[in-house]
Amino acid sequence: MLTLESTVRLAPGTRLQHDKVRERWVLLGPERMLIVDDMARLILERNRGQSIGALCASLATEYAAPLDTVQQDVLALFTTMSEKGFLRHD
Amino acid sequence: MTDTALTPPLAVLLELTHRCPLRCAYCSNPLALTPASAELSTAEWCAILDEAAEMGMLQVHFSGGEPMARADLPELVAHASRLGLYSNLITSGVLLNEAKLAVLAEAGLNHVQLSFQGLDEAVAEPLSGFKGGVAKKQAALDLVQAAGLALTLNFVITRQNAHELDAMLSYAEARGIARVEVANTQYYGWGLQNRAALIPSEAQLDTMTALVTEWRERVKGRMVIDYVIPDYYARRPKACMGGWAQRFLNVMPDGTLLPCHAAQTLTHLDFPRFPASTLAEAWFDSPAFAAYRGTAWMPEPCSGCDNKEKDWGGCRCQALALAGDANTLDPVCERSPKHEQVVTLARREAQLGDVPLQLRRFSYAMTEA
Repeated sequence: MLTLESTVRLAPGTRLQHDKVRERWVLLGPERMLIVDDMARLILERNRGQSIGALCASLATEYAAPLDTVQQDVLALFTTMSEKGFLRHD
Repeated sequence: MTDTALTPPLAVLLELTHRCPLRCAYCSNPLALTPASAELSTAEWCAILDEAAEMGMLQVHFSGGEPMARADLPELVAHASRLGLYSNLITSGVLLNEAKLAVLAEAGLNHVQLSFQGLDEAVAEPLSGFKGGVAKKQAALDLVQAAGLALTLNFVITRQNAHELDAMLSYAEARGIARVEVANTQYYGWGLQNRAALIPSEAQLDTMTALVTEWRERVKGRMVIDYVIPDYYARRPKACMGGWAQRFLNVMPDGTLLPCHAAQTLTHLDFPRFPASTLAEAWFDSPAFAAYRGTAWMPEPCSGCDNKEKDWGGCRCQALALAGDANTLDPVCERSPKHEQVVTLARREAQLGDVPLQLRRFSYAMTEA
């Protein structure tokens, strides 16, 4: 289970790509694809191997958002992506 | 789905060749295999990749036959990489060695899907007509992992190897595989020809379903398990290819353009062929691609069914093969008047025990069709 101490990274064979024709961003993986909205994309791009807690703290500060809301949203997003095989975690 | 919502496909599946060192009895290639002399050239495959990227397709699956039987595969992978396409190699693994894999990795290959007929040579050999395949596949798996490429292990299931599921998943877990497909054979092409010999029993299926459920819980977050059942045992049909001509475009070895790799059995449709037709013309303008797209073509009760935009009416090839009419209900649907008859036959076949397998071969169409 993911916690604020966990770190996540894109699973091998997964990449974030701009879908030019449909004007959106997608996570591409083996025989699967996930459409990512602007918020999810931002979170993925800011994720640089720091703990999820540290990532949330910096996002909360930058966007003046309540930390507990950011933590809930990011954990939910990363959990879904992990279960679908797009992310790996330590 | 209306015409105004028609968007380009997400992925293109290239059946580069029908040549393959294996002769699997469940192969979904057509009975009339395309000879090497009719295959498209390297330049033509590159032009197809150009068009796919231009249309907005995101993924390319290199398939076959055995795609590694094409000497130009690395060139095609490199071309796909330059175009920003996500590339997937669907392979038996038996032609893979360290040097060839290094070239493919260098070309930018993103992912390898490696198929197994189980881990027991005594079971796999009669199914595939290939001696020593398991050892070769295990060696291929080692190579792919050592090269650091993303890997999916595809376990193709029939009555003969269904009992190996637990062993197969244990092997995948021990090897740290992130994604496994537990893929019951679908009964098209050679698979349909051999259905009486291959289809598992419902008891086997129940055991598999229970195992997959258990395993998914155990490996959550480490290993993703995709599970495909033989649709004869489902109540509703599968959304074939995510809906006819909605997500995928297939190119056959000779350039024939199809919404699904089995669609050539629908001989009343005139499928376009590259290079006479572009991919975009086939997708957006051809009557064959429009024939079963969306819901407008559907008969009753499909057109009034709550599931019509989930299963898109199931599979047209199966409707033709099993009910004799491509325009009617897919008989695996419990609402089809042919359902009982079709499913009863499959259940009976599943109890037949050892039935001789007809391994795929190039001469079939000429001698028997």
